[in-house]
Amino acid sequence: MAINKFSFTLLFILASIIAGLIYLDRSLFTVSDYAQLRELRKTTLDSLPKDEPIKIGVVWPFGTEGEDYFKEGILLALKELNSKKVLDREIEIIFKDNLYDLDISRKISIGFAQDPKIVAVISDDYAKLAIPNSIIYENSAIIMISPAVSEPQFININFNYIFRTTPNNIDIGKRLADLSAMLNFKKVAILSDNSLYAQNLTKIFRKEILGVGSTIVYDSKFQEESKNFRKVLSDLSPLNNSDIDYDAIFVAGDEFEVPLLIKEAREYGIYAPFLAGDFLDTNTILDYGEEMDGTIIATIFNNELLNDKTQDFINRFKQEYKIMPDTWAAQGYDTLMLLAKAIENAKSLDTEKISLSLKYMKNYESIFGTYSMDIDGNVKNRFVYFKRLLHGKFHYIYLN
Amino acid sequence: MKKILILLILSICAFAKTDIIIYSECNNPPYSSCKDGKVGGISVDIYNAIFNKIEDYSLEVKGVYLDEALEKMKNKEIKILGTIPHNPIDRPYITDYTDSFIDRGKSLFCIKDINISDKSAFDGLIVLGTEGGYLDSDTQEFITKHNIKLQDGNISSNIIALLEERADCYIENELTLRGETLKIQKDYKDKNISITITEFDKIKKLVGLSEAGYYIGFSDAYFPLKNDLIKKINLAIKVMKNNGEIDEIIKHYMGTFLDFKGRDKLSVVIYPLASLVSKKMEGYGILSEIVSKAFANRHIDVNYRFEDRKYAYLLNKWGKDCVTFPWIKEKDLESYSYISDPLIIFDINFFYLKENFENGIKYEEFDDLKKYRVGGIKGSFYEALFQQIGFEYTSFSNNEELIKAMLLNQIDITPANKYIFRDALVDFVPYKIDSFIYHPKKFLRQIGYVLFSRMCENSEHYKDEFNRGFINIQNDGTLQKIVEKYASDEDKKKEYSEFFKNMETVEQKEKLIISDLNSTDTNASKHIDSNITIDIIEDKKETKTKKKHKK
Repeated sequence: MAINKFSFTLLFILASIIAGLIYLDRSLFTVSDYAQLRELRKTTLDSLPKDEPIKIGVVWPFGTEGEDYFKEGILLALKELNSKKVLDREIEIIFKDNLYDLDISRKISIGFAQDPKIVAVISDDYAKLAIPNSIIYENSAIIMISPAVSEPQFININFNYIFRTTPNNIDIGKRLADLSAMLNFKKVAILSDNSLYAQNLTKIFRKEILGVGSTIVYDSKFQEESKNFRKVLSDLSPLNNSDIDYDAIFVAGDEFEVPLLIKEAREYGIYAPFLAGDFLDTNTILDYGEEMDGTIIATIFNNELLNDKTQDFINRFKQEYKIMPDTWAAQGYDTLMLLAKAIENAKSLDTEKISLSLKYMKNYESIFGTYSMDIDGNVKNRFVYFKRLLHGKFHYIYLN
Repeated sequence: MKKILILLILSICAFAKTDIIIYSECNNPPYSSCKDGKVGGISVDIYNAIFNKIEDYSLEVKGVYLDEALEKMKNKEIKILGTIPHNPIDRPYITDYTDSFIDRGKSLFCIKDINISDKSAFDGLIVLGTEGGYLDSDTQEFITKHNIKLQDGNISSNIIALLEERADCYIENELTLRGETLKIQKDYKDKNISITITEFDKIKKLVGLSEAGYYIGFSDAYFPLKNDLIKKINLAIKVMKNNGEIDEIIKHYMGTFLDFKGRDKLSVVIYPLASLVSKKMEGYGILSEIVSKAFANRHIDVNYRFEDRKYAYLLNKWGKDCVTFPWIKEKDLESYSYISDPLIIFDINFFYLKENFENGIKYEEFDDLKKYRVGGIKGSFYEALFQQIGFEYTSFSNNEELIKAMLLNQIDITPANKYIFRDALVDFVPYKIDSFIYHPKKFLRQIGYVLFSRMCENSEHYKDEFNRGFINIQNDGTLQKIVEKYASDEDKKKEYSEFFKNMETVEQKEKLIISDLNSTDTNASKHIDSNITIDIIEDKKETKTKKKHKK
C-alpha cells in the first residue's frame, strides 16, 4: 500500500515536471534562458545610466474592456511621479493591450521578459491570463502586480515577484455574505457561470451565506459567455412559480454576460436585488441604465471615503480629466504609486530588492486608506465596500 | 475585575456617539428657515448628509433667529452655528470655522441689459438690496464703483418690484433669489393669480459680484472634540463637493420641497381587494383613493400598479415598488418593510353554504371548527395558523377558485370579511349571493397597514409622511368626503364606516389595538410564533377575550 502511494506521488511529480517543461517550451524559454534573463536584468538595471528612465509595463484589455479609466489613473500617477522623480529618474510606461486573448497576452509577457530594462509590469484583470503570465514574470525576475485579479490561486507562496493590490475572492465572498445578513436576505438564490472565477467565488459565498444563517433556495449554473439564460430565469420567475420566494439573487460571471442576464430577468418578472462581486464594478453595467436598478456590487473603491488622500486624488483626477475616477482609475493610480514607493524604499532598481520592499510594505498610506502587503504578495487590510444601482447610478451602501 | 470594568467602559465609549447640536438660522431661506417649530432648508439637508457620513457623531439641528444666536454664541450658550459667513473680525467670539459648504456670493440680477463696464450704467436706475443682508467686500466695491444707492426691502417684495418693473436690478445671492422666486410662483399658482413662469424669466443674472461661502462656525466655548469634528466635517464636505451631492441636494430642495417644479413620486403596487382596491373603479377604489390623498397631503404623488397579491408582496420586498397596501403584520414583515400606522380594520367571520349546513355551523369555541374543511386565499396569514394546528385546510389563488370549491362542496367554511366576500360573490356568482351566509361570531380582527420597502431609499421618511398625511386627511374631513363619495347607499356607508370605525385618529386606532391585546382572559386568542395575534370578538357582547395555544 505504502509502495503504491509512493509510486503515485512519483508519477505525479514526473507528470508535473513534464507539464512544466511543455509549458516552458510553449513560452519559448528554457530554464537556462530564464537564468540568463534574470542575470541580464540584474546587471542591466544595476548599471542603468543615470539619464535612463525606470521602465514599467502596463497590460490591460484597453480595447475590449468596457470603458474604464484605468489608463487615466496610471497616467495621473505617472505625471505626479515624474514631477518629483523616483530615485532621480523618470518613469516610462509601456502600455500594451492584451485584448483579453491568451496568446496575445503571452506574447506581451515574453516581450517584456526579453527586455532587460523592464523593472515591473502592472498587469491583467483576468485570472485566466494572469496566472500563466505570472510564471513568465516570476522566472524572469520582473515584478508583476495585478490590480484586479482576486482569484486566490494567483498568488503562489513559492513565488517572489508576484503581487496583487486587490482583496482576494475569499474576502469578497465573506463580505457579500455579511452584507446579505445585514440586509436581511434570508432566502438567497445562486446563479453562476462555469468559469473558474465564478465557481470559486460562488463556492466561498455558498459556505459563508449558510454560515450567517441564510437559506439557499435555488442554486444553478449557466454557460460561460452565454447570452441565453432562459432555463435558470424560468425557474426563478414568480410569474411561472407562484410559490417561489427569495430575497436576493447572488450572481457570479463576467461583466458582459451578467448585465444581459439581469436585463433578461426583468422579462421574467424578476426584480429581486442581484448581488455581485467586483467583477461587475465597471461602467459596462451603467450602459443598461435603470434596468439594472437594485443590483448590489462589491467594490474596492469608495469615492465617499472620509480620507484626505482619497478626496485629494478624486479632486486632482477630476481636474485632469473632468470625470469622476472609477475603481479602476483608482487601482491604476494606486498600484503605480505603491510600486514607486517600493522602488524608493529599496533605493535600487534591483527587482529582488524591490520585491522585498513590497513584501515588507507596512501601513502604506494610500488613496484607499492605510494598507500593508504580506510576504506572499497579497494585500492586507483593503476594505470591500458595496454600491447599489439606483436610477442608473451607483450609490454606496452604508450599514450601521 | 478592574480590567473588565475598564474594558466595559471602553467598549461602551467605542460605540457611543457624541451628540452634536447645530443651530441654524430661522430666517435665511432657502438655506435655513423655520416653519411650524421645525427648521429646514438646503443647509439643514447638507448638515444631515454630512453627519450621515460621520459615524462618531449624531446630529440635532435646532432653529434660531440670528440675533439671538449671535448673542448666545457670545455667551457660549451655543457652541455651533451653521450657515454663517466667515467673519472673524466682526464676530471674534466665533473662533473656528469649517470649510465653506455652499456658495452665498452675491450676483446682480436685472430685468434689462446693462453694460456694467460703464461706470455710469446705473445712473437713474433703481437697484434693490435685501434689508439686513450681509454685503461682502467685493460686492461693496462694485456698489461704490458704480455709485449705486441700494434701496433695501425684503426679498419677496424686491422680486415682485422687479416683476412689476418698479425696480431695475437686485443684488442678491442666486440661491436665495431662486428659492424665493419659486415660492412666489407657488403662491401665485395656489391663489390662481395669472402670471406665467416665463414672466419670471425676465429677471436675469447679469454678473456674479463675489465669491463667498457659508460655513459652520464654532464659538470659543470649551468643546474638547472640536478639532476632530471640524476635520471630519471638512472631509465630508470635500466628499460631497467631489461627488456632486451638494448640487443634488440643492436641486432636490429647489425642485421638490418647495413643491413646485416636481414632487416626489412613489411607485405603489396593489392587489385587487373587492371594492376597496379595484382597477375598474375611478381612483382605484376607496382605499386607494384614501392612500393617494394621504400622500398628496404631504406633496407626494403615487403611481399605482396592479399585480396579484403574492407578486405584489415580492415586488415590495425586493424594492421594485416601494409601497404596498393593505397588509397585516405577519412574520418577518418588519424585517423587510417599515410599517405605517393602522390604515383599515377588517373583521373576519366564517362563511359557509346554507344548503350544506341547514342548521348553520357550530362555532362557540375555536376548536369547534376543527371538524370543518377550511379554505382560504394563498398567502393569507391564517394559512399557517390552520395548518399548524391541524385543520384540514386548502388554499386557493383567488376568491373565484375558492367560491367554486365551496359550491362543489370541496370545502366547508372560509374566513373572510363579510363586505369583501360579498363583493367577490357579486363579481363571480351574483345569482348565488343568498346561498352564502356567515356565522355571526367574529373570528378575528385584522388591521391593514401600508408597507414601505426597506430596499427603497427614504422609506422611513415616506412612512412618516404618510402617517402625517393620514392624520391630516382625517382631521380636515377629506377622509369623510371620500367615504361619502364611494358610499352609493346607506349599506355602503355602513360598510365603509365599519372599515374605518374608531379610525378618527391614529391615537384612537392604536388604543383600540392595545385594548384588544390587553383585554382580560375571558375567551380566546392565539399567539403563534409570537407573530400572529388573533383577537376573537364576540359579536353581540363586544367583549374581547384571550387564550393561548402553545405550538
